Amino acid sequence: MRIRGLEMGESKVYLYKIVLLGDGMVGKTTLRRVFMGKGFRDTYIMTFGCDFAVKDVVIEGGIRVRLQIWDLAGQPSFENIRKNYYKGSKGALLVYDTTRRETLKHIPLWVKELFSNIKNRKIPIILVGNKIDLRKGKENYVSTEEGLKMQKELQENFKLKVLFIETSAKTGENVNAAFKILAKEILQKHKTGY
Amino acid sequence: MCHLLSYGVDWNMVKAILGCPEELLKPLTEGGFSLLIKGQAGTGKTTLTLEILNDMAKFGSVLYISTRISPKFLYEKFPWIRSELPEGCIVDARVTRIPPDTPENLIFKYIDELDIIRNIQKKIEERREGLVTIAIDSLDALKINLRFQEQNFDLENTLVSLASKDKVNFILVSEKSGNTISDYIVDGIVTLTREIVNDCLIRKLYLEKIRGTEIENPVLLYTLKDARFTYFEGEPVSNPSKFTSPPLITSEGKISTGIPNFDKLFSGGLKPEGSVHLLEVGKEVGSYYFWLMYPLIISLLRQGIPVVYVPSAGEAIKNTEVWISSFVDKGLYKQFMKFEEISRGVVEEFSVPKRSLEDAIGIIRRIIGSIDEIKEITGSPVVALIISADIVEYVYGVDLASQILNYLTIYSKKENVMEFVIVKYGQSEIITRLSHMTSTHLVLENIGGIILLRGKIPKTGMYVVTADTSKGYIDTNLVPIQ
Repeated sequence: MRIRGLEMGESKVYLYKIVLLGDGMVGKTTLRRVFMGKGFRDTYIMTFGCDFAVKDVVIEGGIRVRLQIWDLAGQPSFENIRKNYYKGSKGALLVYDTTRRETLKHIPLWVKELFSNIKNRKIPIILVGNKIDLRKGKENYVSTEEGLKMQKELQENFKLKVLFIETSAKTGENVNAAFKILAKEILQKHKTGY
Repeated sequence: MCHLLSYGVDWNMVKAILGCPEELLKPLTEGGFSLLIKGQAGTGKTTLTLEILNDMAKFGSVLYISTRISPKFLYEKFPWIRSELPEGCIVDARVTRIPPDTPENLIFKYIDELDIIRNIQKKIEERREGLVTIAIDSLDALKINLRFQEQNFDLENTLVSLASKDKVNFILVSEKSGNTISDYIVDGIVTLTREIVNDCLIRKLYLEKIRGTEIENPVLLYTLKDARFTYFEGEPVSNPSKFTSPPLITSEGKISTGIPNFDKLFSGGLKPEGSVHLLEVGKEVGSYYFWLMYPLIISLLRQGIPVVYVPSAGEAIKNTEVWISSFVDKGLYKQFMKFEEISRGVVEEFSVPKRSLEDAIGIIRRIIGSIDEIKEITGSPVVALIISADIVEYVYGVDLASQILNYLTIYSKKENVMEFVIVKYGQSEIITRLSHMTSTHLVLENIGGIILLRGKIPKTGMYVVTADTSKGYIDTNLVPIQ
């Protein structure tokens, strides 16, 4: 385990690399954008290989955590590039689209790929059901219950704690919370050891 | 805590100073000084004049006689003058048709030069507290506006004698270049110029004469950014009194260089992928480029990007270490920063032994090994490689050095390495060979003691590289010449 604490003046900052995972078009780039504070853009730009962002979050107790966010391309053609980027990650957001059931079904595959690339280090992961704003009026959407079921399944199959949250990158609902909860989980894990 | 100043005291730091240069302000604050500002259209004569009045307002009353532009336009173009130069301080002295709604007191009515003197004198009498500074912008326009030029009345002489008699400051603006009769009469002359150097705009202020003082710095570089007069001055490096962490600058989807305007040169920041950037360090720039490199390295480390650094020939690594590690957490610095010294045990020898292709392959392997190692330790898929080309050329000769740098450039693009190649003055062969492969090609040069940066790829204007440590960290800024 490596400790990355940046001590400057009175405050201490922890630096962690996190990754965003999930199928293409589930809204990973938008989640990151909204979290970074640039608002929602209607046109979706296909993430090329990876994208990068750094933001500090303050969690309870005034502890500052610096998140280095690598946004991995969901597009299958980038599989080779993708493998490289899992290295050294300390937490992951697993994103699916609540209006497309197949994106939820692929979640276990993403978890498998993640763990096989980081030597089965049990890093904190958060299951994120995105685009809940689009659920209204749609008939065959993925319900909260289905998300909770997936959370349970992942916990049992991979023997690790998984948290679940539903977000809307469009309205901003729960976006900051998702990143904050992840930061908190990583810090806790960091302090108690992997 | 170590003292940074013991490392590299001989360097300068360029500062951007807003407002009127000290050399001009000093004699004006004593009163009774006449100053002639010369320069062609668009050199910033009006901006400088307004800056002087803005500063002089603290010492008494000021008056700006505008013979060319309306006060409304002045306030629109220079909104910052409002607080020190309220409406009563600006006099509309255009002889063009007077708009009916203009308040009476704002208009100078004159039919000949004597009228002007009478009006000015009246203004002086009205405002007798502290110093009085009166600017006429411009003298030429005023003379053209007057229809009685044949009267042969010497306006300049009268104003200058008025200045000395009544302890009034006069600022006369003239579009005429070359020597005029006014040059002998006035107490001070400055000339503003605009020059094109390497297709880029450069602005220079020449202090031609200041009566009673010896001019130390006859040439000042300046910019008219944001409709203000900002000039540049070199100062010795000062040791930060306390160390603080520089503000973390982040860039959406990109890696920030830690310097906002520097990010702009990379269209918003560095892409987290393989890329090659060439920094050409010109003649007499010396170690000034460190003021760009240190904040860059600090910023990379703080964003979690590891750095492999190949120091330059004769660079004291201790300096670099201290100036970087003082602003980055020790643990992080240890893990994320790696020095790869090519010169170890070489520079001390009097003659460099002849190097073979095997030696060159050896050094490539060493650098790539370092990159792989740091990737493994930090888990970062992207690594920054900063390589000083001068040491490579010194040790391996031009041909082998070109091959080494060529190979590393190709490797960087393929293997997610952000490579920065620092090339010194005189390494033209290496510059030529590398320049077609680079994503960015930047040039640092010294003009009149001020260090400027410009982009060849992408093509940019000139930026003055300013640096400051008074906030407790290295605050480098790129100020555009506009």
